[in-house]
Amino acid sequence: MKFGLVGAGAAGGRIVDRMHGLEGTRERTFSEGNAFVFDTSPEAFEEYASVPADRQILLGDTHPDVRGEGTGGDIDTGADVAREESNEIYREFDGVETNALDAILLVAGLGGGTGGGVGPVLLEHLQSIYEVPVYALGILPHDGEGDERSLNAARSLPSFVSEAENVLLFDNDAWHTGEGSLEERYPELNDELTRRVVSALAAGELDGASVAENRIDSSDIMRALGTGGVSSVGYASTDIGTDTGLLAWLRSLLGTDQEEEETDAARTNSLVRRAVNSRLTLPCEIASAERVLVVLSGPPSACSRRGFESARYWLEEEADTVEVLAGDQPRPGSSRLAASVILSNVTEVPRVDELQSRAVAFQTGE
Amino acid sequence: MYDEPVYGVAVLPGKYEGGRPALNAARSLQSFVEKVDNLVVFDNDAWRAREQTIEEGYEEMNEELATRIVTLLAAGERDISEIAENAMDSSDIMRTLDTGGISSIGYAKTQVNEHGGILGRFREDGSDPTDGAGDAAKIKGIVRRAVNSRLTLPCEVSSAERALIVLSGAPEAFSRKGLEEARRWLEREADTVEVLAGDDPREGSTAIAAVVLLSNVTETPRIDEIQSQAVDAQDKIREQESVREEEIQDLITDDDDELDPVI
Repeated sequence: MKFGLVGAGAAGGRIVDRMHGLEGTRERTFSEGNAFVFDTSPEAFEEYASVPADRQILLGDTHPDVRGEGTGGDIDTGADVAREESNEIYREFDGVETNALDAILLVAGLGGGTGGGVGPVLLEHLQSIYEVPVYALGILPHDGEGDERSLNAARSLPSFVSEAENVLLFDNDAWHTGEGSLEERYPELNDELTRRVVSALAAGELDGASVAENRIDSSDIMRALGTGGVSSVGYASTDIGTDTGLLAWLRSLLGTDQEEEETDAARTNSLVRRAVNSRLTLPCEIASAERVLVVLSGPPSACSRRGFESARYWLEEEADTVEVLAGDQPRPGSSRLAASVILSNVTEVPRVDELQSRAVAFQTGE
Repeated sequence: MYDEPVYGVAVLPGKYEGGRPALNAARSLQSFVEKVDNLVVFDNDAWRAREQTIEEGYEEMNEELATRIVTLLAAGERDISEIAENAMDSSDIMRTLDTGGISSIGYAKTQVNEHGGILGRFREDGSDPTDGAGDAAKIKGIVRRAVNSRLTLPCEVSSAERALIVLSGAPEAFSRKGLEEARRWLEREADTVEVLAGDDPREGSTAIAAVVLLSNVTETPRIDEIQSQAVDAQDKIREQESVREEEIQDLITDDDDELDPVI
């Protein structure tokens, strides 16, 4: 799927910059050069290495509560600023060539004043301008970031969900464990997040055009995301090393080896299971998902059909849904096999309940 | 748009492809059968080998399907191949397909001895040979094998309304008597009097192949299975859709609705 990138606030901006940077100088890209970042303070702009300066848009520099210094963590100020500068926002989006895009992805931290406040207004604008679906990628705050950010996230989430066609969530609290401050861990967390989201959404866009019978296409991804809810992404990969090179070639000459194929099937199957059972971007009850997308990427000779089929069937049972969209993304030269899973419209998410309780307690105590 | 009959070739999804493809297939099968003059069906599940990579799997199955269709349809073509003893023309094929239903194709192939004929009998004069019992039995055998082997769509052979046998390949291995016996056998097997048989000589070929078309087969367990999987899938999808909005609202709002959304 080809999607344009829009970042709101520092957290969203960083991720957009990273995703855009990942495309680098490759011949094929998923964003077709469409990447924007919006912020209420120019501070974060200095970090960006990939999004061009004319696509870094400062909002609220004349707003009395902002004046180029951010919203001070106030999402209502963020929303105000974005509303007041609607014309400016429309103008920025004016020149975007959406014919080449299948969707737009807005990225924002829900705990921040800009991400949580400007984000939903941007979504509203994007929805009104573009015919393509507008999805959001939201970052939930870490528990250590304090009460106010929990309150912001709890108030911002419903607006995100009502404005976007789907909201993929990444929970910093589940991912920031162990040593180091959140700031120190950002690059690492953002890498994990970017890998997951890009492998699932940009399936097929970054690799050479190799034809697969069962290739995943944008319409599959859009169908999976077309639930209007909140989604979680899973990912697992495994090194298949030399198996695809000389050995695989020899194997093909010598005919099919039963045992080797058995191994291929088991490997493919367990990889998909691992993608779902390992840490999801948003920990949730898998059975509460409404639709599932699963993409297997790697060299076609290593993707066992039987293994993939049984994994797909297992997912149907596990997620208790008949809508498991499955496909592969052939990468002939690759030495890795990876599985990406989107659990779409998950409705049992302990972390969201936790944020809401904390937000209510904080709001009541204020 | 066309006066000529329009036939379809449809591939059924495998059970392991899941509920949604089954639902699509069950619904689209109805429309297909309604819109075409005959629908030749291929069941992926019957054909997938136990061990295959994604890459190999479809190639093999597509090849198998193409071989059957081409061998069958080529029989009605007056190409450079020699005139058949027991010629089959396109009207025979059209007549067999003219049932408006679903068809299944069987196929079997065997190599011919280099010296001509299955038993090595060599016919130089091109005259109508007196069939040896061995050749006739071989021909009958290959036709039986075509029907009893994996059909493109496994089905109850006796539920077929019409059938057609095409023998294609090395003409020196043909046996008119064998073909006639095979035809009568299929009449009994398919419980129909409408069984046509013909040959399609391919000079220079070192093999003979039998293709059997079973037209309007009505007892096909796999289609019943897809329909029941489809009904279950439809129920599940409806059930999920009916609670979707409520469950999303439950998730994104706090229990007592004390939090205001930002916009």
